[in-house]
Amino acid sequence: MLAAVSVTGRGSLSRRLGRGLLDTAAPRLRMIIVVLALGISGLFGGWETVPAAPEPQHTAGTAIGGGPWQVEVLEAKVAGDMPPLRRQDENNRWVYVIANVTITAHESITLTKQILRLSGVEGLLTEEPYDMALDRDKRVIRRLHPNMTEKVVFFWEQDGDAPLPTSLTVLVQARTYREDSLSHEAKWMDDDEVAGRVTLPVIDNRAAASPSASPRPSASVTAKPGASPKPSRSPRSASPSARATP
Amino acid sequence: MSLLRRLGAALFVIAVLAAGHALTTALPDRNQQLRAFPATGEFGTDVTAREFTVRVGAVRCAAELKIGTAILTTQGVWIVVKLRLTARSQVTSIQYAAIRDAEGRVYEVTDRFEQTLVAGGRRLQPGIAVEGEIALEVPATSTGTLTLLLASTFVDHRMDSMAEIPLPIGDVRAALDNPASTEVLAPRVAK
Amino acid sequence: MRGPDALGRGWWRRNRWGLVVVLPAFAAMLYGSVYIDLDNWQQREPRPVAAAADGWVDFGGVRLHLVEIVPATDLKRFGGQPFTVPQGVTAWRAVFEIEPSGAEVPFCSVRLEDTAGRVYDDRPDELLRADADRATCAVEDSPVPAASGRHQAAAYFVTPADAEPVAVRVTFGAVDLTRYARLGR
Repeated sequence: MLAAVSVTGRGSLSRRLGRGLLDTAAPRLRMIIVVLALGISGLFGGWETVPAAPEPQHTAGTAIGGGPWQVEVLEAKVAGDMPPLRRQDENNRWVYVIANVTITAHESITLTKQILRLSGVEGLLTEEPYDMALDRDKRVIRRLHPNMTEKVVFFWEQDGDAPLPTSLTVLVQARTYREDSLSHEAKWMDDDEVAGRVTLPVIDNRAAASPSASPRPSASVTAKPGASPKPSRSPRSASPSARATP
Repeated sequence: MSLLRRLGAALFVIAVLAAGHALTTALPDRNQQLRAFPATGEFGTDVTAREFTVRVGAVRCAAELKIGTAILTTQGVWIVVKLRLTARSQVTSIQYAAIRDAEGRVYEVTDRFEQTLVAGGRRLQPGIAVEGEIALEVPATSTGTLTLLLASTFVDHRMDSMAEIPLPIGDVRAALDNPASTEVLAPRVAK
Repeated sequence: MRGPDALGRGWWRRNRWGLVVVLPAFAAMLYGSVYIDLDNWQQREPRPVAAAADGWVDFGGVRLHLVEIVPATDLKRFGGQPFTVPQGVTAWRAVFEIEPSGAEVPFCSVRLEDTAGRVYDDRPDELLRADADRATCAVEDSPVPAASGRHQAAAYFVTPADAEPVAVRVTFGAVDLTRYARLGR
C-alpha cells in the first residue's frame, strides 16, 4: 500500500495521496465531493466577501479604533527641555503627540507605548515613544483603564542635528483578538497592521518659556512610572519617587 | 469493493471528523481551560491563595487622592482598599491587583504613583502580616458588585490561584459629593 | 505487504530492528518533551545537600559549616543609632564558615528554614533601614578576617516571634539551582 504513494512516482506526494483517497472513496463522485466541500466551507463563511480595507488616512480628532484601544490624535508639537524627562543630549528635542485614548478592551492595558508610532520625522532615537504622561496631572504613566478616556502625551526624543519636522504622520497601531497559533490562547495579537494615519502640522513650542497648553510634567508633582512594567525601564527620568506616605 | 462500501467508508471518516469538531467546540476554549483558580472569600475574613493569605479590612471611595504633596484627580472614582497580606510558606510578593466590575471589565491598580504593596516591590516574609492601602480607578458609572482580584503572578496568571473578594461598596458616585482628598496608607508590618 | 518477501523473511523478521528502536525512541521523545518542565520543577523544589558527620557540607566546590543562628538584638541603623524591629517580629543573624577549594567563591543566596518548614529570604524589606548587608559568600564581605583558608558570611532574617529557625539554606545560583547546602542547627 505504501508503495502506491511513494515519492518515486511522478507528481507531488500530496496530490497523489489526495487523488488516491478520492478514487478509493468515490471514483465517479469526485466532482460532487468538491461541490460538497465548497458548500460546507460556505456554511462557515467561506463565501463571504472580504470587507474592503478601511481608508487609513484620518483627520485630527477622528476616533480611530485599533482593537483594544480607540485613539483621537489631537496635536503634535516639539519642545526643548521638559522636566522631569531627560534628554540624552542637551541639543536634542522632544517631539510629542497629544491624543485622547480610550481602552476598549475589557481590561487595563499596560503596554500602551505600542499604541502610536511616528512617520515622517528624521532622527528619532526610539521607534516607540520614550515616555508617556497623563495630561491630567503630567505624571508619567503606562497603564490605562477600560472605558476611561484620558488625554495622553506621547514623547519621542529627536536628535538635535536632524531637521525640525514641520508636519508628521501619526500611525495608530492595530491589534487583533485572535487565537495564538502556538499556544492556542486567544489574545490581542500584533499582526503588523496600522488602524489609521493622521498627518498633522507640528507646532514649535521651543521658544515658549512656560508652555501653558502643553504638557509640562512639573518637578514638584513627581513623575515616575510606578508599578509597571518596571520602574527601571526609564532610568533617565530620575526623579524623587512619589510614595503613598513619606 | 462495491460503491456502497466505499461511500460508507467516506461517510464514516466525515462522521468521525464531525464528531471531533463537535467535541473540541463543546469543550471550554484554551483561555477558559488555563484560567486562574479563584480563591473566593468574604470581606473581612482571611482568604487563602496558593502563596499568600489576604484580608480586606476596609474599603472607601474618594474623588481625590493626596500622595505626598500631590493631589491626584480622576475622571472616575478612586477605590481605596485596605489589605492585610501574609506569605504562607515561602517569600512572595503581590504583583497583580485589580477590580472586576459586574460586566467583567477589569481595572488594574493605578501606576500613577508607586504602590509597592501590590506592584511586586514589597516582599512578604512567611507569617509576617503586612498591611497597607492600595488605590484603583473605576468609572463613576460602575454599578453592581465590584470584586477585588489579587495574585502573586505578574501578567501570566494561568493555572495559578487568584484571590477574589467582593467589596461592600454601594454607590461609587456618593464619593464625588465629598471633595476632601484622602491619603493612602503605606505598607507596614501589621501589629 | 503481507507474507514472506523474496528472501523468505516474515513481517517480524523484516521489521525487527524498527521494533527494537521503537521503545528507546519513544522514551527519548517523552524525555525531550518534559525536559524543560522537569528542570523547572527541580529548580522550584531544590533538594538539600546535608552535612557530613563532621558538620561540614561539601557543595558547589566549597565546604560550608554553620557557626550560629542567633537573635539579632544589636542591629544598628546606617547612622549608628539602634534599630528596632517591628512588634511581633524577631530578627535573626546566621553566620557560617566557608572553605573554598578554588580561588573564587561563587555568589550565594542564603535562606532561613524554621521548624514549620517556612523559608525566609535574606535581607528582608523589614530590615531595609538596618545596617545589615546581604550575604554574598565573598571573602571581602566576611565579617571576620579570613584565616587558614576560611572566611565567614553573615545573613540577616526576620521571622514571626513564635518561629524557631532550624537551618540555613545556601544556594550557588551560578553553579546549581536544583540543590542547596542545608546547614542544620
